[in-house]
Amino acid sequence: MRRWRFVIAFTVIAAAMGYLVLNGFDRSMVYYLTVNELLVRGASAGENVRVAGVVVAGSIEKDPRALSLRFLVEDKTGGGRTIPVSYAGLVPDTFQEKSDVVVEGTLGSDGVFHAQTLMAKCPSKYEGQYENLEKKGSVRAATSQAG
Amino acid sequence: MILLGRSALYLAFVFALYAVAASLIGRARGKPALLRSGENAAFAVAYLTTLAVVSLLVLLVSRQFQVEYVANYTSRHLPWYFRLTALWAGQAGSLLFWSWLLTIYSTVVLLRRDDSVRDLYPGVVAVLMAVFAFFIGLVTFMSNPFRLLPFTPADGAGLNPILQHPAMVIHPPSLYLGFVGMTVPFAFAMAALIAGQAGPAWLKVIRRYALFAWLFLSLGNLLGARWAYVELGWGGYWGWDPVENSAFMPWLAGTAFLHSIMIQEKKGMLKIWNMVLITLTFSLTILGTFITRSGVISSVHSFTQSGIGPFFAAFLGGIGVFSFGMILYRRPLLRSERTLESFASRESSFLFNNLILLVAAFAILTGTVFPIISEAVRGVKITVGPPFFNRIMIPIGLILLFLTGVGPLIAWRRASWKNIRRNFVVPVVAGLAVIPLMLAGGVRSFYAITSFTLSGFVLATIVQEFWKGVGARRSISGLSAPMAFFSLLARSRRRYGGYIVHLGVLLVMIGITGNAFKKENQAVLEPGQKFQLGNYEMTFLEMREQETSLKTRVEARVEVRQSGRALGVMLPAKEFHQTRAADQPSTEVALRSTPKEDLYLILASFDGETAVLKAYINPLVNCLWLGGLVVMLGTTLAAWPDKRDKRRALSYSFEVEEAVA
Repeated sequence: MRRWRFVIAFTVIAAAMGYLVLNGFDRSMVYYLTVNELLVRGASAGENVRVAGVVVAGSIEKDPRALSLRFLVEDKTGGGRTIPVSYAGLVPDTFQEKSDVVVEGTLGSDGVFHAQTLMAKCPSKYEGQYENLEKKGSVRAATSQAG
Repeated sequence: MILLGRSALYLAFVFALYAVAASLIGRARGKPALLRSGENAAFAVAYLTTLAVVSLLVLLVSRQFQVEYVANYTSRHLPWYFRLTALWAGQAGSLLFWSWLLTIYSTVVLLRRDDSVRDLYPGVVAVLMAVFAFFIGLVTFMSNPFRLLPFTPADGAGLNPILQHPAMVIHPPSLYLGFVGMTVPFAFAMAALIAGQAGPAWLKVIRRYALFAWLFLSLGNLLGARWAYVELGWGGYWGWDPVENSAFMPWLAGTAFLHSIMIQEKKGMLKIWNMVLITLTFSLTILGTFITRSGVISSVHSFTQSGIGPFFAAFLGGIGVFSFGMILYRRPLLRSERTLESFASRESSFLFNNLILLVAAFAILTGTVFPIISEAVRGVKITVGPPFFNRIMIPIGLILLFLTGVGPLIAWRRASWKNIRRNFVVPVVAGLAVIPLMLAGGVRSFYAITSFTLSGFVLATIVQEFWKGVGARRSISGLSAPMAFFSLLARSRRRYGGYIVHLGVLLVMIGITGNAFKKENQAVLEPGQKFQLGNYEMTFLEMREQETSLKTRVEARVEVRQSGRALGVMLPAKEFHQTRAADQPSTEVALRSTPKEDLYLILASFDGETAVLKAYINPLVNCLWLGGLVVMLGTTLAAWPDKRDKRRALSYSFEVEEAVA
């Protein structure tokens, strides 16, 4: 059999796979923003966005019985402006005041961010102690709820 | 100790550079003395790095908190074994650990010198030491574990309690053994190109190293999943996060490599392809190290802030330019000895398997690094989540499963109808027979039915092969069936080891398919109240608190019944570690595991005497763990040194033909 037939066949297969990948991509792309970026940019109704920020000290309201949670996030660089977040689901062990958090969900018209996913990284004592494996834990704890 | 460690690092860096230069110049000028000196420098590097590692271990164990690394990852009350394993808890330590493993590999490579590829060693030493110099350079100049704090803290920050788990003790070293191990085949590949010896000789030498690395990559991935499952408490074992992906991608590329080198060994084809594959595999291990060690992807806008990011990017770029440059330069030597003849042939099915594995790796790579790319190109981070990976990987996994059955059985060059009928009638019937069983059992998920059908097909191909092999052995030797079986395993380790690996992969796929039947439920319960999941009934009895010197454990006592039968009391809990911030709990899962399914119980939260419980039924998860063990068993068998190796080396091509037949 001639070589070009294989080249064509494998190209077609690779193209089909490529299409599968790109198509999957298109349907699950999510913007990843900081709190300040979200405040500037806004989000259209129903648009899924992922937002990184820091939990404002003293803002956590837990309702353990309903497994729901409300808190404020602010930008890591400060700036004073906050976004209220509401979330229902398993809370990662690393979630606490001043945690770095990443939430994924939609921004409601009332300005409340409704998170379906919550990931957290605990605040560290020393600079440079951001430990990836810790985050790995919380990331997984959170992704499960998305999936 | 600190001074000793630091000096050892500097010296190791200098010696590694010397080893690279001596090997390359010695080769170019044909000076054996210089080559020997280069190799001795590589031994010296191994010695010095060991010294640095031992120094750091001593500092960790003796609680020298003025060392920043010790303060960050250990604390007074941490047990000694976790103080030791803190060696790979942080970036600086784990990069040092990486470098150290590489020196161990290079020592082994040099001690087990194979004279049939004598001319490759200068190149091998140069590549190994260049890679080492990069890593030890990062350790020495960018991320030094011997850096001191300006003050001596009274206590260290400690190790995160979720990392204090046996699986986490062996998961990182195992993964790193796999990552680092892929450097050896890469070094031989590049050495073959440098020396202009692109024949099959280097493949013969690296096969065992590649299998060893692959074995530990598999083990590392498996332990990571196991750890996530029992320790993280979200009911699953795989979340497609960047850290997991970065360990999975080299595994995929490495799997492709292990398959395609068989084609080169036996048919002299795919030479360029193999060079490309090992370069990709190696690059993915470097990328994986970077992703796991820098946390670059999960945080917003961190690439530019991560100190080591640009170095890794440059290093990866350098690897790419060098190896593709060498491949282009040596292209005349890499010409294929044969061409593909038919789609229905073993060559094609292997090539197809390669293609699919690479597409999988590429898809995961794109999904994983897309945030970095989009940030670089458009200034915005865009991410994709688990739905993306699941949508793509399920069909890819099913195609691979199918090829697992086809590849080993289909004839070389061009399969005749006779060959296809002889090998595939029974497996196809076996596979199709699964469908009515599934439907009768109430299974309606398309993917699950496809997966089990293919599993039936693949299982039948493997059983059929063993059946034929045992039959043939018996008729030759007159052994009893079990003896013939073991004799078969002992005589054709590569072939039957491979089948056992496939059997393990099959079990893993069945375990993953179990996710299609996953169930979950949660409830807020007062003592005495119960809730249902599937045929399990869980009654919350009471909350109980236990205090030890190191932690407080709050557990819910939950009585479990299955279809009315009492299964006992399960104890999901939260633990509060004294060394950590008081409000950071760690979730302790209660797990009841049977071959059919796991009941997975979490104490999500509690309030006085009220408990919020979450329960999952995870069907067939044990198939996954069992499959992983089978994969390792098969790999070990396939790689096990053979007494006949010497003889085999002499009559190598003959043996290959025999194995193929």
